[in-house]
Amino acid sequence: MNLRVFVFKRLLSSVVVLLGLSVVIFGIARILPGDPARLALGSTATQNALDLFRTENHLDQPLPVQYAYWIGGVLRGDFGTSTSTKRAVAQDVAEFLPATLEMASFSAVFLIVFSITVGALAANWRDTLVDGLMRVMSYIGIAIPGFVIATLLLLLFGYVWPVIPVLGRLSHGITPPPGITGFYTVDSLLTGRLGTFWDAFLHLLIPAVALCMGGLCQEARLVRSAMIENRGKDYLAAMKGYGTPGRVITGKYLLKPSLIPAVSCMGMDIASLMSNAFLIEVIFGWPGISRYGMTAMLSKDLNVISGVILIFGAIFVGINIVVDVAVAYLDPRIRLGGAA
Amino acid sequence: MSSGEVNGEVNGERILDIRNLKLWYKVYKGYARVLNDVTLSVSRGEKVGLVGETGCGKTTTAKSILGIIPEHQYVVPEGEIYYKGKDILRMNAKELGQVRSGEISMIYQEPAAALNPVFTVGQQMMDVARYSSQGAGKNRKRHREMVLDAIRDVFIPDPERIFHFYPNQLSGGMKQRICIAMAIMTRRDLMIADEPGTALDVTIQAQVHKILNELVNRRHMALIMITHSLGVARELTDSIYVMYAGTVVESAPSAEIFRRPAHPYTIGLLAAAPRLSGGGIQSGIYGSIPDYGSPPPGCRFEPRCSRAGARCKAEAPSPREAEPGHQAACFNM
Repeated sequence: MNLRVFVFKRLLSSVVVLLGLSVVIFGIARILPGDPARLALGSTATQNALDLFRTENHLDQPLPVQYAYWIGGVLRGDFGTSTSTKRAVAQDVAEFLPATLEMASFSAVFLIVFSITVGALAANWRDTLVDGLMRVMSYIGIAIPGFVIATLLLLLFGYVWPVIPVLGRLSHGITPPPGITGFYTVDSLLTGRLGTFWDAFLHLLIPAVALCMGGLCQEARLVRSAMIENRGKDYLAAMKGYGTPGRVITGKYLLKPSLIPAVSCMGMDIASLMSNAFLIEVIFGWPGISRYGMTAMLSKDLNVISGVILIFGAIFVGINIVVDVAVAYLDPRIRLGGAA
Repeated sequence: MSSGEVNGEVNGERILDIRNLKLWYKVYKGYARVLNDVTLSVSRGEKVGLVGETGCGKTTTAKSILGIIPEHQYVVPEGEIYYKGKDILRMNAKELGQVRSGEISMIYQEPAAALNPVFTVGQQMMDVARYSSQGAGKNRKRHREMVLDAIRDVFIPDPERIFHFYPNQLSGGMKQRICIAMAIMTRRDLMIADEPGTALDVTIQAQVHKILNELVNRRHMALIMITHSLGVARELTDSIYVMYAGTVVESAPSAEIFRRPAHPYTIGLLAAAPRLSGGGIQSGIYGSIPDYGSPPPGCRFEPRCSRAGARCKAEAPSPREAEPGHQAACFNM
């Protein structure tokens, strides 16, 4: 009954999860092969310079002490300095994260809206041409990895039929809107630059579609099968018998219980949009954080690796809470503890 | 209904008249003829019992009156279901909607399944009120009053609280009452009660029957009481139809069925009922209901019948009068 208590409990447990995650990330970053000091300063650095670097970055201290330094900084919003960009990790993240978040959010909205619509349409016209077409399409969408879809879309819209831009966040010659949220679409709307908004929107379209295609197809199938399974339920026959119109029965009494399995699955897919964004970002030249994080891994940029993974973890946990709340809203049996 | 057609309205009193209703369910291999010539009539204010063992087509008959069997499960039935002179099977969507929202109401067999688990009792009942003919044009406040009144009518204390409950927060008895409340929210001329209280213990079941009986009496509604218990039927109804394997095998005034049962199946049912005096549990009827995919060619009860002869194997008996007002479908009575 009480959604607020439910949310509070989930928040509390997520703090524990994130603390555990921080320990694991810290540990993994330290056992990766390669000497961070050497990688940061290059092969020509003197022993003195290397020692100085290690002392400055507490690399000569035992691991628990290093962790304490690191987590203390993280809690103050200081993730240390990137050894490759020579800037504060927080500053880099602030620059790259919004681009990925914007793409992922757009992708998530697309995923939710279209999986439900497509699934409901297929269920409504089950065993017709519409349904058959959707089922075949969804198999293809699930079977083909996102980066292949991305490459195909790039080929289609970048070369064969260039009606939608496919590279970067904005066209050449258009200046980015002032950074308020970091989302180009939102910022351009806030400052009233409709032309910029439209351009940013078009640039988002193809990467966002490529990113969510697999999940979208999967969830559309779940919505479809749940609706088909539920349509014979007594409670629908009962509502029909009391004279409730068909559109209310389908749009309300059939749809809501049928969304539950799809929403749980959507939660996982939306949470992984961020990490799946890497290949999409590379293919579409998207200046996002996944690309930044991956580059850091290759150069053993410890602070960036830990910072980026921790932020991804936090976002993942955050989305999971939102999904749990959504499922609890849809299915009272979950938040009431299932007692009959 | 305002229809001028009087077809089927034999004596002006009769509101429901089912004639030779046949219905097929789609099954894995082809079609199963689940209803095989059901003929049944209900007069204004009359209480009719529909009795038979599980799987004999009682619920299917009831659901076809309201046209609420999911479309993917059955084939369009044959026969006629006249309601106040108009055939429900040939009504358009609008007329059928009017029958559902203002004329006939139904209490469903399994209260736990008849309530949507993801909406509160109030949310569901509000829609029932809103789309009933007496709720049309009224505002939310009035709908809410209708709902709360209905919950009060089934003797649930504190309706305001129950309004916000989800079905799984209610006990079985409460769910059953809510189902009754939904069905009686507006006054309709015919109530179909599909085994109300069967899933509950005997005391609660008796309570539910009492509540239902009083409400139907007070509102002068006709009642079709579906039950597998002849005892319940005797207590609550004026006349009884005994169904076997999709056919009405015997029909008579309730007392008559007990005084002088004519069909061997009815006789078997009566003999099977446990009695408080007279020595424990009786013998049942040998065998079980036939496979609807390939039923016996003649009388459907023939394989289980002690009186069966050669004619019963070849030919299905039509109902004939055992005495005035008492019909049975058997060659050997």
